[in-house]
Amino acid sequence: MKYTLTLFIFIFSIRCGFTQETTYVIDYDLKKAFKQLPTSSTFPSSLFIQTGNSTLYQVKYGVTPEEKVEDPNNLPQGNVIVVEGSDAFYFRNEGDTTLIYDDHIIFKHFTVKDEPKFNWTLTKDSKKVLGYNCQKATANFRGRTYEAYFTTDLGIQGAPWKFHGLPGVILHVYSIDGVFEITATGIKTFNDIEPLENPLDTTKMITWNQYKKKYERKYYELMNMVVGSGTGDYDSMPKMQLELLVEDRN
Amino acid sequence: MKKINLILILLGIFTMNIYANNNPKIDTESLKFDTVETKKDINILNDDVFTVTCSATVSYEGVVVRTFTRTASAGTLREARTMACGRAQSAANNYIAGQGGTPPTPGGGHNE
Repeated sequence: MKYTLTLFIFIFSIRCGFTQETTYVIDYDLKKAFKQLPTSSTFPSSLFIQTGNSTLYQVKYGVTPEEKVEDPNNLPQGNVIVVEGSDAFYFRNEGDTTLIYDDHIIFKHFTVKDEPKFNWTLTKDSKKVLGYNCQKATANFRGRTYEAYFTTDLGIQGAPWKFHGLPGVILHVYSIDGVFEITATGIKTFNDIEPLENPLDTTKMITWNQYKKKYERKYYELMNMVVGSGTGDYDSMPKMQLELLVEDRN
Repeated sequence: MKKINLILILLGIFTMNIYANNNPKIDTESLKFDTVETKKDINILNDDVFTVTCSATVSYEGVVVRTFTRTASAGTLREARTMACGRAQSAANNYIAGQGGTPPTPGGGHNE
């Protein structure tokens, strides 16, 4: 009896100890507008920032913005992270420069370990996003120039996708060439979410450089492949996705 | 005494289950294709031969993953265009089907 009671108290205390974190959930619309495509694509996404813990950014590729759960009274209790097969994740432990995320080369998915570095230049420009005062910052990152608006009003730090290193939360960020844009659509706080954990399979993790080399190999493989019967027939993949993946060979 | 033991054990298992169920897990990835598009470049060699280059682009999760470019020549512009774009579109559709997906209608899917 004594042993069972101790076991129960131990299990109960573990659970109680893990549930009292404050979690900020920032919803965004993530837009990709590549010039090769006739239309842009917008996907709902959410950034989970847990004070004193980790951040998790989730992009729901299988859900259109119209299908988003908008009713605040109808949220699942205990955990708002609803996971579907087509979701992509970006996970970072607090204070850690390493970001772990899911990416793909054509249709093959990889878990990538990356240390994206942003040398932000803070400007005096500002605007309001969702009622929060935001300051503008700019940075070049892997082939694109970005302008970001971040707020320090929330008292926390965090950013969607690979963005990192600003002293607040990014609520609006876009590449100046119009290809990539992430816009905050709502902010909520929860007190009953479990500690954020890395949902990705890290057993076969590759580094960003390994990912880039794999992509580059595939790119040249395809370029050297003879296809079709006529001249002018070829298959290709772009040198640049959201980031520059194939450097020009001199 | 035995009843209390059983209740406490069941409560413990129940608590552990709640904790396990609240952690996100990834399901099997399902392939989803956004769009297939054609682009046309027309090159008139002379009055009798029209050459058209046409590309069909496959995107996945909003990024371009592969472009199929095909060229065809014919006596009329319409014929050359039909051949080039038909072959490009067909290559893209075969590729998508080979990946286990269903080719989308141009401009369809969830694009804006």
